[in-house]
Amino acid sequence: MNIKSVKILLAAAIIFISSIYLPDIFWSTFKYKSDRPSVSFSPIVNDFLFTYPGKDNSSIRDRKGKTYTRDEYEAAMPQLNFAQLMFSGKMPDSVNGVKVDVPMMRKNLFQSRFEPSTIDGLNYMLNPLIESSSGRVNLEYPNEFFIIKNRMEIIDARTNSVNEEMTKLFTDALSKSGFVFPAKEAFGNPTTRKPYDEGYFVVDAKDQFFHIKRIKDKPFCKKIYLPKGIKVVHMNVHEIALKEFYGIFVTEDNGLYFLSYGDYKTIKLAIEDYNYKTSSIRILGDLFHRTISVNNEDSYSVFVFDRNYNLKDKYTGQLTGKYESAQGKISAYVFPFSLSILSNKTMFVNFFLKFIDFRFFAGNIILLLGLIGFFLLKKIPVNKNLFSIILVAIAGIYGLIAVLVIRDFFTSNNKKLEK
Amino acid sequence: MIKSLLYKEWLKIRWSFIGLLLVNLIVVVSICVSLYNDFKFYKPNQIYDGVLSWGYVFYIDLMYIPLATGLLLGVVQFFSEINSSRLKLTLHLPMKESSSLLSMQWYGLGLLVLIFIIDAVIISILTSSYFPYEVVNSFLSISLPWFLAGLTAYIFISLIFVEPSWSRRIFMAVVGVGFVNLLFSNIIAMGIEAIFSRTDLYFFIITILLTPIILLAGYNYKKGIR
Amino acid sequence: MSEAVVQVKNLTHYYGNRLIFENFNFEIKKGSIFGLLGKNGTGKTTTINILNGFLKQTSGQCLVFGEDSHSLSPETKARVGFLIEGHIQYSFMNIKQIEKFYSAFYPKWKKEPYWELMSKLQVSENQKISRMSCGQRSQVALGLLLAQDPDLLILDDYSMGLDAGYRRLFIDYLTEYAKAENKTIFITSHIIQDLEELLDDCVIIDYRSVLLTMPIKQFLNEFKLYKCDLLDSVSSIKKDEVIKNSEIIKNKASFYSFTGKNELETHLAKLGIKHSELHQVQMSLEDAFIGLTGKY
Repeated sequence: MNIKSVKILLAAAIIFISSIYLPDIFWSTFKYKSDRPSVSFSPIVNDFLFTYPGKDNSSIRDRKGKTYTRDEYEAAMPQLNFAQLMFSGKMPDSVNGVKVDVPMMRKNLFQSRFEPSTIDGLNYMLNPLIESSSGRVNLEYPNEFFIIKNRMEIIDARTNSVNEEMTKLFTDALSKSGFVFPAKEAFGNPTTRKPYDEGYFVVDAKDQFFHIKRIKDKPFCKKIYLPKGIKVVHMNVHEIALKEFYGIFVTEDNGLYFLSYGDYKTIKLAIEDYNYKTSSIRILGDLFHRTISVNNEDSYSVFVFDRNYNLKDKYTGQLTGKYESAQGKISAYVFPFSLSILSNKTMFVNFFLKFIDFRFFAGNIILLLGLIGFFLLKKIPVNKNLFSIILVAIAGIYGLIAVLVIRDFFTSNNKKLEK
Repeated sequence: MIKSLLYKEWLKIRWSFIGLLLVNLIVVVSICVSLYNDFKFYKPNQIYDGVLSWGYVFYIDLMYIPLATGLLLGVVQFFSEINSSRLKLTLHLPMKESSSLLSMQWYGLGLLVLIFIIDAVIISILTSSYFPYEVVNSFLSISLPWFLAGLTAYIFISLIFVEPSWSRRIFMAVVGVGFVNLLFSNIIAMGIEAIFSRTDLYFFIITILLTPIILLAGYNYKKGIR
Repeated sequence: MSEAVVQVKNLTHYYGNRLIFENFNFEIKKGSIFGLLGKNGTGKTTTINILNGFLKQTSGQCLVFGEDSHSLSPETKARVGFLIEGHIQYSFMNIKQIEKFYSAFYPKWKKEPYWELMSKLQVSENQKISRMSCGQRSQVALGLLLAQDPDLLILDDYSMGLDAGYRRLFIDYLTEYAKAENKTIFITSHIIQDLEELLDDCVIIDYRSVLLTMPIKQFLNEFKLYKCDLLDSVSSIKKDEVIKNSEIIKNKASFYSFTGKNELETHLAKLGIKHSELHQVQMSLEDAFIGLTGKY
């Protein structure tokens, strides 16, 4: 290996590491605060209320620009703030002519979130096989764990060995329902801190969808009929008192569905602008509505559905992008690109190269002129240092660091610098 | 000749190597004992729940051990070379200077890998006796970057010691900290927050690619740059 | 045959902006023992480092067996024995291990001279070098060099830290080695007295300049010390072509010169220095060295 290629290797290492850390240091020094509001729908005002988080107190506005105080906001959102309203004695008896009370509101309230990083996240596939009908008031954490490979293997934690009898029972039940081994995904809540257990919703090798649970040590396996061509990528299972649906799932074609309780009907919600790989979804369910917020990098959309899942209203807002802010503009000139090994879009480490636009070229040219000026000042022959020049032209500030560290990119013909 | 060079390296670092191996074994055994105690005092399914759902990383004590091992081995092996310019003796040996430097460095890496394999095998055996294969697999995937961090730290120590210029030593130390720090991105607080399994191979290749940089340090050493 | 083993041509070196030497030239002939003499800090180790390829000169050329000293081939390195200042060796080895270690590198390895020297040290085979005295370590380093049987020996200040006995022992072995095997030796030292019998040729360097390059016999023959009594009081005499150095203590004067007595008389007369009893005094190499380089 000749010394020139080692220098190139070191230059690559320096560029690699500085393109990870320099932008990182830059952004943590000049923090950027997003102007993304949180949005909810008021059944009283019949409009979206946008809450912009502020330094001291947040400002709340509706679509027409009317501002709300905190008290006004809470009064406009009784379905969310019933506890506070009860406490201050302002709880209404009815909303829009519908008689309401706190237990009713509490029972109907739920939240659900889909983040790209949980969808592309760590899933052990090894889950506790909770007994859903133990005859006890509270669920009990089981000793049996399962994993669906070429069979539904049930492992006893006490002995760390396969319970062959149960394995056969469950494997047979799955096969009989048409399950194709192995499983791709299993969704459920592997905890006993829930009112009841619905087991797991499992995607098989052929993207078929199954509901599997343990009832009195016997398998329950039900194939769920999905609309044609639909592949489930993630499901949030909701074991809540409402018992209106088993859960909410997103699909490979960026659809959002509720899976209704008992009859396994799939209900598609008419949302837009969603991409399960990049956008996050927040679902807020209350006595009156299902409000779905779809958040993208530089925009957000909010959709409000009635309890029959009909679209009632929607709103799309644009955000000042990170790179439109003052510090963002500077970074666009200074950093030709930035590299990161972590991303909020996935839990897996990878190399995420971010390239903003061509503004960096102006920055690079300034650095390049500086370098050439330095060469001329030190009487270093410019034509013998083309490699340094190319490095700075392409990799800008990162390349300059490499050139300055590996000084003898340009010392080979220079006495002064060699000493 | 390379055999004889490695004989020298072995004479130089054998006691440190054995010491480091012992420290590693002590940590690994203490991890085993504490897991054994977990299973003695808690119900197995509680521990399963902890590991599967609550981010209980029972081998977290291992995290910085490979790093420390790599750093110390590097210091022992290369401090003695630059102390009193003993590296001149090594570089004056009638073999290619790049071969001497690389074989010294790769020998150290080899010994580290040996220690790390012992660590990983013991913990894997332990894990597999209490947990299904999935947990063993996740242990290997989570600890691999820690082991790579040990190798990376060692590589940077080796080239920092051979490099004669102080300013560049300091810079390379900063770059080294950068590389090592990347390999610890998977742990935030107590839980596993990021998984390297998709990029293990790339990070391994990056680690290997860092090794020849010692040749540039050796080249600078021979030029007498200060 | 007088082929040159080492050729130094127009060697110039700076540390930063500090000039160490400029246009330094010398050749070491095969079979000769060559001394590089100079006071501390005049660039002896710098020269050795350049010669061994551990320092890149600012300019000029330095050839060892015809190869650029900065990129010697392994074969050439095998022909060069190198003693580092302070007799540094791998001190974590014992004397048996270090012999085993080096023997694998050198095809002409002769372990007898090594063990002969070691037997005189009265240390056990398992004694680590780090636990030896400085003198003992110098013997280990010497023994290894002799066993390597190099064609060119480069010794950087072999005398450092050694008492008279070990210095003498070192010189005795070197003399024997060089004469018997027609080897070339390049040696630096700041203890000049030991080298008088040993050296064939020498270079004497001073801060920033080379004072002289010639065979040692010629130097001792041609460089002379004259003493006389001064008749007038003279505070100092300038150095010039004839008078290389002078010293005046009260009315006694010493002159160092390459010229004969008569020429000096004429020269002193020209300078108008009245004197009596001008006579030549015998000098050792050390006297001559100090005469040439001065006491400071």
